Amino acid sequence: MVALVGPSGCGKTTVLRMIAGLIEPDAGQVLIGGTDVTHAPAHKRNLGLVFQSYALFPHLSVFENVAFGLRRRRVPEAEIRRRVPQALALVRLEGFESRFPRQLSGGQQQRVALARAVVTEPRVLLLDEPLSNLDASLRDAMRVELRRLQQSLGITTVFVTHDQEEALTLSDRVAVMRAGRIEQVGAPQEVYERPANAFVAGFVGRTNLVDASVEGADGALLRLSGPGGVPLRARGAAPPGTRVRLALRHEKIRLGDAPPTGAANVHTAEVALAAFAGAQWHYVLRLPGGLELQAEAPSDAAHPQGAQVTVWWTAEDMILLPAEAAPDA
Amino acid sequence: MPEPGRHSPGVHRRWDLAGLGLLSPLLLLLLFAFLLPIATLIPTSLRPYIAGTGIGEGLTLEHYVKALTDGFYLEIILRTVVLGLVVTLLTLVVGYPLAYVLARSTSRWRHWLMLLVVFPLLLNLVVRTFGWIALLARRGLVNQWLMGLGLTEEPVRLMFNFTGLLIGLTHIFLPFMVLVLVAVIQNIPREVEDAARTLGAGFWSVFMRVTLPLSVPGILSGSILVFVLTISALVTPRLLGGPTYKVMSTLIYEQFLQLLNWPAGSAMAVVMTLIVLALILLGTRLARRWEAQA
Amino acid sequence: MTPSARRWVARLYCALVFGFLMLPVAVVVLASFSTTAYLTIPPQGVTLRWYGRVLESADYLSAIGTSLLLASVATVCALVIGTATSYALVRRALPGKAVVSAVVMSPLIFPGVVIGVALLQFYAALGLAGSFAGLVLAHVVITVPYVVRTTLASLSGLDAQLEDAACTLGADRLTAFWKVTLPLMRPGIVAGGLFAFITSFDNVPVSIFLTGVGTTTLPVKIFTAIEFGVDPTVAAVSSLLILTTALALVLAERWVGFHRFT
Repeated sequence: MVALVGPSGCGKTTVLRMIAGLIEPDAGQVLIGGTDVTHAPAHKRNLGLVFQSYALFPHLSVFENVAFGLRRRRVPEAEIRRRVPQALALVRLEGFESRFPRQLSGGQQQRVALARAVVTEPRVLLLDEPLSNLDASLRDAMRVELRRLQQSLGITTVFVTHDQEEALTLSDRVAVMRAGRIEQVGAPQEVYERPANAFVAGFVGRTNLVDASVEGADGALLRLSGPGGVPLRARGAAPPGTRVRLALRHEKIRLGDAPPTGAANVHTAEVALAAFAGAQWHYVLRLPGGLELQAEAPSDAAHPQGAQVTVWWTAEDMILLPAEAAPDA
Repeated sequence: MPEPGRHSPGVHRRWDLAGLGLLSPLLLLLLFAFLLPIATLIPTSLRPYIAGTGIGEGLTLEHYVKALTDGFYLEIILRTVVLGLVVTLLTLVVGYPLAYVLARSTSRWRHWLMLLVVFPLLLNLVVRTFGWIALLARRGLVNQWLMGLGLTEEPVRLMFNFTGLLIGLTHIFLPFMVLVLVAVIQNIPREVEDAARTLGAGFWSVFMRVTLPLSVPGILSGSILVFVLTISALVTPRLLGGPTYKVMSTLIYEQFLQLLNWPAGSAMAVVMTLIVLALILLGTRLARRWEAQA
Repeated sequence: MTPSARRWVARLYCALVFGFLMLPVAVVVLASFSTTAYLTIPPQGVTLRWYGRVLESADYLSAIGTSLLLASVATVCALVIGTATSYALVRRALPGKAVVSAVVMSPLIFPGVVIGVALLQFYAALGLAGSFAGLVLAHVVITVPYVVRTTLASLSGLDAQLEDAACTLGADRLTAFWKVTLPLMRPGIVAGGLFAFITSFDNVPVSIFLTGVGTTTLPVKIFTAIEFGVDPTVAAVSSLLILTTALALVLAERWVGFHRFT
């Protein structure tokens, strides 16, 4: 299961449509299972595509919608009658055969679209923003459903989303895109913990981006000076005097607990803003020197606005980003 | 919302061919059965006509000269234009209130009322005009009522004159005006009128200051439509006006089918076409200027 | 004036205008039953004999037949050409669409009489004068704009992705059009077909110049009949036309919600 994630307009849906054969690329190739399908028309590629708007045929019943692909492949009637209910059962819509799309809810329509796409046993399943149109509660349930479905069918799946959390939770591999280029590809954890550049660091997860200049090295650790002169320690190597960018995830900042001895970054910060968000508290912390960092911490310990609190994070959590032109935040 | 796909020049060209292929039957048809024939009216209109022999050789502008200077023809052209203006005005004045009621109506009969407006349009012109003959003739119903009620001694002349054509043509083209106006009034959001009302405007204020000004583009396009249709009308003027009370269309009809003077008829047809084209151009320009102001 | 008084005035006004619109229609229907040549109210006698005359008259029947055939052929051609045109205008990328649209719609505002005489002298030069094929061509020209208008409306309201979905499921472009787009365009096609059929069937200004000796259409026949004098037979034929048109309208409304296309 591969996720294509990026901000709106980065081209991820275009890539999906190119894989499907609805758009022909200007240059390059599309290979499926090693075969070059770049010039093959969409109807010959044997893929399944679930559109963001589901694109169910309004004039056909649920049964006929799902059977559509099978009929185009001249599958015998008896087999159609067997496979369609099977596919509907897979998406837990047994008994819906004779209904029409206008009688279905959004979630049900999506499941019919899924059934329609997988019943033909395609080589690849393509999903365009599968969870964007659903409300929050349905989204979580559907996320689990999609994963379960994909794993039980064992089909290679590519899905497109602008929600990085969705990308991380659903996929085996994530490709982060920006302005038509892939910035990084890798397992979710890798993309999260070792972002290739400031854009990926900023896009995936909730991150503080801090500019600092290198002062020296302390063994394996780098000593840096951040905004307002605040001392920082990160893991990595860079010559003294260079200006670098550091990424620090919100949830990596610990508040209040006694930091372990030898913790790399310990500061006393003032709580500039505290907001309750259910499972967590969201803080804006002001370090001495003026640097403001956003942090998230579990709700069991609350730190009120204006309080002084000890904050700390490890050098590993302070990610050194490769030098590049400043990304659009 | 999926991003628009960028098509490679190769694909674009391929699709263009399919698109052009789909359009070509109609474009060819229009070229050979519409544009070309109308264009050939011009050469025909430039030929002389010798009574008794037919169309002669050579080129001449005599038909155009006659059409634009001869009193007989000028009277017909003038009559046609005036008829167009008065009919347009009448359909506008009569049709606007009806269109307003229909456009703002929320009753469940609204669809059927709209269809009731459309229904006469689908009826044969000849049939409708025939109904007016039965009403307006010397022995027709209107005169029977008028004389029966003692309002007149002699039957009133309601046919073969301006009045008859006026009544008949207003009836025929009223639905066109109503339909255009309904569409335009519906496009004026109710909220705009409501906003005016919350600002203290009474019913007539809202109408005069908000609804009417906003419906001017529709009034304009409806008026142009009805005007063009009126001056082009053939059946109704021929039946209600008779062979002696002519308008441009009936004159052309007479010249082609009875006098067999095709060149003169073609010249008249060309004049009519130019008037229509000029009107439509004027209308679009006015509409564009009004929209630019708004 | 109070709002409710205003409402009643509005209703009265609408009733009067509708009355005005329906008056000649009612008169025609009444006249078809009258025993006298001129309708009188109260009528002097009621009879069905004029209907009988129509149904026995070979002339009228042949004119009806010609009109039906002409309208059917023209409508079918107009539907095919018009649907293809609106598909090209909506779904295909083409330069100058506005100009093409204007040209396609132009027969609607052109004076019928000009089209009629233009074709008459054009056909005469080509030797097609009075031919049925020439008449069909002329009728297709004047009916296609109606089909384009209604099918355009229908097509614009359709999700373009439905055809894409069909393609990803294995249908080529033509099958996708036939099985998905076309069925969903049905309201536009039916409405367009109705407009086209009626326009062709009722047409006089173009037809009167192109009908030959054997090919008189019904409205042209009625037209020339009236020119010779009023005859209740004409009223009877007219009433039959009124009845069928009303029926067609009701059916179209019930079937595809015809009022949306007006």
